[in-house]
Amino acid sequence: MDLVKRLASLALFASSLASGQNLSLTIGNSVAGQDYTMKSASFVFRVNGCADLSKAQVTAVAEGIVGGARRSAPLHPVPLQSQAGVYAIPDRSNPDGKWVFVVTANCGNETAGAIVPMNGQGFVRESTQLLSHAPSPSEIEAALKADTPSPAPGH
Amino acid sequence: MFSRKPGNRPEDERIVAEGLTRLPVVKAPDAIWNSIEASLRAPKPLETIPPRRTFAWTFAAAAALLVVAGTAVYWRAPHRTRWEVVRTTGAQAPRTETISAGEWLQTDSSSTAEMRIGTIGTVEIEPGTRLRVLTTRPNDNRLSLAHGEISATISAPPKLFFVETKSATAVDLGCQYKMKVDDSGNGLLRVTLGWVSFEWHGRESLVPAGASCRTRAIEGPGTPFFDDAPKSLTAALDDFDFSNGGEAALRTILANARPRDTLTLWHLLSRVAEPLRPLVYDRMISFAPPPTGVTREKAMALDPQTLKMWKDELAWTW
Repeated sequence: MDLVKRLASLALFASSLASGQNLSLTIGNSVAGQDYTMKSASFVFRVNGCADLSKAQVTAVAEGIVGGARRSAPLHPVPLQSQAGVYAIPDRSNPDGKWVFVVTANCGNETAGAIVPMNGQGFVRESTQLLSHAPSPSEIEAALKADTPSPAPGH
Repeated sequence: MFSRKPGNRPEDERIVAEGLTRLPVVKAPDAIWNSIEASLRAPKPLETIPPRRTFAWTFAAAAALLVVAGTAVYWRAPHRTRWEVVRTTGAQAPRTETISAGEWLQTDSSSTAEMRIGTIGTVEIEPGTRLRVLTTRPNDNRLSLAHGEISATISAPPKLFFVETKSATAVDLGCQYKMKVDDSGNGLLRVTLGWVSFEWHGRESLVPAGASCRTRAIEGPGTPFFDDAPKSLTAALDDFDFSNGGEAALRTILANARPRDTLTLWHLLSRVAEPLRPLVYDRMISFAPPPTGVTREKAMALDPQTLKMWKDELAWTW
């Protein structure tokens, strides 16, 4: 019985450690990238909790509504030389319509995601959603329908 | 007699040894010893160097001297690269001219100019501005802003473009910014992209995009703040930096700070009097716990590596 208790507490301890290592994303202004070549980036993001960053895979898509029509365009995250696991989303002007940038990261069996609303001044930090899974279509649609705080700053 | 036959070596050696013992002992003549002693006492003649080697050494020394002198002249003399300047006055057509190190450029109340900084960027010069080109070297592009306003857009690795004023030097860290200054050196730097380091006599303010920093004659650059920071915070900061606001001003800054204002608080950590440092630290960690590796002790001791690590992490919230 004592052994079972010990094993159970060991399993709890291991799972708590594992949860501390969960894959996640951090979103920041381009200045966080500390890379002058990407100073005009829309934003930068960091992949946290990936033991082997060489195996991390990241994708990004711009999802928008322009004149009532749904638009979708691939984005191309650029890995920064200055910091491992940090990527920049190059500047992409979307003067018309409403847009969110959707980021997904995979590392081993884990996935993390982010939905990043954009306005005329850059990304909107207050409305950014950090997820422990790949953003679902319904989450993206909801973000596109949500009110985005106007010119409030990701900057 | 000494021909060697295989297997007969010990016998030969015996015969030679016997022969040597039979030789008479003869004393050496005194002249030989005198000659040896004289040669030992005489100074050693210098090693003579072949003429070709002497020439090679002279040539190498002269070449080295030339290189050193050339380098000194290159660094001391103003570089003669000329930058293009496009002047615009009122409704007149733009006029293109060039400017080089040592020359002044001035705009009046109705004119502007745009200066190309080699291949690394441009500087727009607003009306009523006077500036001088100090150097135009590939690794040191430098202006002196006497008064007026400029907007710089630089696309180059950090620390290639500098703008000096009477109270601070703006060091480009890959950026876009505006700077205005009056005749006495009082002014404001506002960064729109990247980072600028605002420096003066060992004091450094790191200003990221979206932030500004004031500078005053004698005091130098103040503490940077975000342009959207509460007025109450920026007013108190002005008081702290330039009017000896002290603890009262600091407490107002801390009370009005938002998470993003850790930019200001990070700079204040090393600028407040030591007894007030814990107040700043505690306010900073109230927004977010310090990253791994940043401890209270090291932060209080202003350990440079710790502060840099913390700033790099805080930048994700700026």
